Amino acid sequence: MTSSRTRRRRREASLGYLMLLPALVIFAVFIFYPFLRNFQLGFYLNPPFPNLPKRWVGFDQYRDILGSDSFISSLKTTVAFAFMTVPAGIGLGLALAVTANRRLRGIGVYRTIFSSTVATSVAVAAVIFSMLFNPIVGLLPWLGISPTPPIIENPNLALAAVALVTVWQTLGLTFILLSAGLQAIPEDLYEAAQVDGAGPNTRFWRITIPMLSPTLFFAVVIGSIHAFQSFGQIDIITSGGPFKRTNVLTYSIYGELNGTNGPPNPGKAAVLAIALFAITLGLTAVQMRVLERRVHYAR
Amino acid sequence: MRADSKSGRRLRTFGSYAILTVLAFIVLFPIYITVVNSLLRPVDIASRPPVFFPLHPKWSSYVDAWNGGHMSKYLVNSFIVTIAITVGQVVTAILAGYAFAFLEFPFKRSLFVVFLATLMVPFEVTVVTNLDTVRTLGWFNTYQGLAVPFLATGFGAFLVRQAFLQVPRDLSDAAALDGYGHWRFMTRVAVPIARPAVAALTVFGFLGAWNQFLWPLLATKDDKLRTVQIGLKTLRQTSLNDVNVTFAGAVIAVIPIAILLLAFQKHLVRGLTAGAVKG
Amino acid sequence: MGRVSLQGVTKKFGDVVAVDHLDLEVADREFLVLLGPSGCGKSTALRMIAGLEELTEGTITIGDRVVNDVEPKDRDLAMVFQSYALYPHLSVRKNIEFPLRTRGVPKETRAATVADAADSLGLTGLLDRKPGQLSGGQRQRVALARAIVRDPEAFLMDEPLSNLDAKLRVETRAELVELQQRLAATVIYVTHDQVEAMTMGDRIAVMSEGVLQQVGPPQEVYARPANLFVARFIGTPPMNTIPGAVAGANADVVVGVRPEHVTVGARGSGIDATVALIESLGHERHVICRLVDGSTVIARQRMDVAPPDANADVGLAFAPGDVHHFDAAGGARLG
Repeated sequence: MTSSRTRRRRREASLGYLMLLPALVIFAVFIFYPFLRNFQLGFYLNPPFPNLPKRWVGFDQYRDILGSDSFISSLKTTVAFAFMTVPAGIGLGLALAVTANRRLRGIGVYRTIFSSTVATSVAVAAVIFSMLFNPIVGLLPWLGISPTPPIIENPNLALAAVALVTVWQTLGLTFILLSAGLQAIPEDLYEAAQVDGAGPNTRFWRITIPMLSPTLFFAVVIGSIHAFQSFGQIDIITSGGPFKRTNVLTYSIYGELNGTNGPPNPGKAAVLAIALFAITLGLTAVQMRVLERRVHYAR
Repeated sequence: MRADSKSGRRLRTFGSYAILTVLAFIVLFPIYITVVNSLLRPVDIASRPPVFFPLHPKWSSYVDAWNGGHMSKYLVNSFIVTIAITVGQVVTAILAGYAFAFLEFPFKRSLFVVFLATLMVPFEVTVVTNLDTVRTLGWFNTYQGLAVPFLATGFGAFLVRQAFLQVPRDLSDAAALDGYGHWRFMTRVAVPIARPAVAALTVFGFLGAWNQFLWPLLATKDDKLRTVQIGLKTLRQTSLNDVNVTFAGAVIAVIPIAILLLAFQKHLVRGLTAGAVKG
Repeated sequence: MGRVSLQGVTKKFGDVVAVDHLDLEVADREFLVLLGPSGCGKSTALRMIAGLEELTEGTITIGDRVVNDVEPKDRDLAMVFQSYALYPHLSVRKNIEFPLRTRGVPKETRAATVADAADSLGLTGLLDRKPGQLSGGQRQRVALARAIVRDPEAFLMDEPLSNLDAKLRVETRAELVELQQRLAATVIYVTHDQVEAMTMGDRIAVMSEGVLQQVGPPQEVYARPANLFVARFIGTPPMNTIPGAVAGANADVVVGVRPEHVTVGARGSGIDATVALIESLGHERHVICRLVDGSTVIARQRMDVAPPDANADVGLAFAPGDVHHFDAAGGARLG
């Protein structure tokens, strides 16, 4: 009796493991192993010329890289980029969502237009805007926006230009997310508020925002994580320049791997990757903490 | 008084449409001007004032992008890689989601945590070693190299597990009495019931795979394997004097996804909001 | 043969004993009701018979076969669930056909069997609908049809009527009994509703906290409850239980009287009480009285009897033959 029961249990367990196996193999080979190997790679200094042996330097490389001016400036750039994209993106997305959240004939057409940028990829958006920024064929110069040096080569403007592209490209996504959140707010809350004599402003700040706060919170976390992982638009529009003013962390990892700054340096790339991971992790934790307190439904 | 409020309402409606239209114009403008420019001669694109409507559309830029710009090849590559990734993600997510939702085995909770932990590791963090791994396996500049690292996601397994947990337990009991084993219950009952989640995952996976940039940039070296996203970057660099071709390329790159999204808008919304509304 | 036998069946979930050494014999063609409050282990017992839960101890026999290690599908049982467990993505026809398909029944036979079952349950016009398009009562009948087509050794039913509204429940009760007699089927029926148990069962098995309290025909269980739990659980309003000292008996007994056996008279006849509340139900009246020790006794009165005054001091009398005695310590019936 017992043996047949254990046999059945064992069969169910084997089936369970079998079903998890494909995903676990992928995770092990392409996520966990490379993640852990970063730490090991970081202990070795790559030689200045290829074909020379690597040298064990332990934590020296971590200290050197993470303390270096180039890392600090890359970090600052990444943070600045996040601050340029996340609030603006969510603010605009919210404006679109609130505007489109009313019963009007043909509102579906507007909703489709507002979500249309989901169809574009980072690369498409970057290519389109890099042309629009172009001093010869672009439209911005024609509109009188023609700084010298041109936007993309302008140390003071390049990062903002990339941020603008990012905000536009993610606008559709933000709009869809916030619209879904808005539509989940029960209509009778607004009706009750209207009966209580609340004007549109009061209704927005006292009902919409508190009720939407879980969705907004989610949008902020996802948006920030996206910002910290942005790569394609920088590669296409500025290649990290001018003067490394758009050299965000992901781009510096790519630079070390691709040999943009001399021979490929996996050791350095690994240390930068660890830093990126730590920041993403910390960012999520901090945001959870800070926002958790403010995220609640109106009582 | 009544007439007053009526005209007031009409004015407000008009105002709403005005605001909506202005916003729609702003959001859509970059896409509009891309389509217009793809139909102009390069000289016309640079003309001042700019041309905002192509009176004599020049479709040859699409032919140039398609053939000379290799967009046809890039599209095929993108489709192969994207479909492989999407199918892989859906299958692995269904299998893992089923195990987590319907089966009992030692270390189930820990393994679920392992699946969720993968969500904390950005792909950019793993790219250093993955490039080595793919080279070692001889997969550099191959379809396998582009697809295999993405055949499973923690998000997918989580999404499908949640959907499977909504399947009433009575249903699996009934199926057990009726003689369905796990495989048949999964394919004939659980998956059909969880279809909305599976559809959302499919759209989401497709979109993500199609739009990938960093990995195909690193893991390919020539046009034979380049995907649309990388191809577009190449196209822009190689057709500096024919910007209309680049614009045409951008339009070509967007069309498949635009069609997909128009058809499956609903599922995408569900996939996106799945993470946000946990209760 | 649709005989089901449980011997010493025990189920433990960790430290919690859900079913404790349950012995039960269900005869062929019998309608047996497992009755008890929620959490008493009756559903767990049913699920063990079905093979959906493993036994911690004991033996279950179906027909002449010990089925402890037999898979649910091979036990030749059909089950009707409280939620009906219809496959939402399949049509009514496919739902009813489902158990036949898995058993490899040929297509023509399947179609005929489904048509028969649908006809006998009045589902013929609904065969191409999805469960979501049906009413609760229709879904319930689809669930029954799916069980019938199996032609099983026994039917297991887990609160099959509790999701129906009150009126439909009464109608379906009668239909179920009729169906059971027509099919000459063995039915094990789980419910917490004593009215269902009294009206449907050939025998009732009352359970509490995993332990079987009493098994017997409904009338016997009502007339001679084996212990205080059964006495208080069966009957509406429940049996009055009065401490022996208050009722003028020994202190180590509890005296039980059904409300219909209590006569409300003048102070001095029987035991002293005060009228606390009078509820009129239209066809009868409940007089709720308070005893000197604060305990409550309910008396049922016909409407043609004159009611006592509110707050009146009364005396409660009952014939010696209508009185039940229970052990105050263990609750067991005395005599």
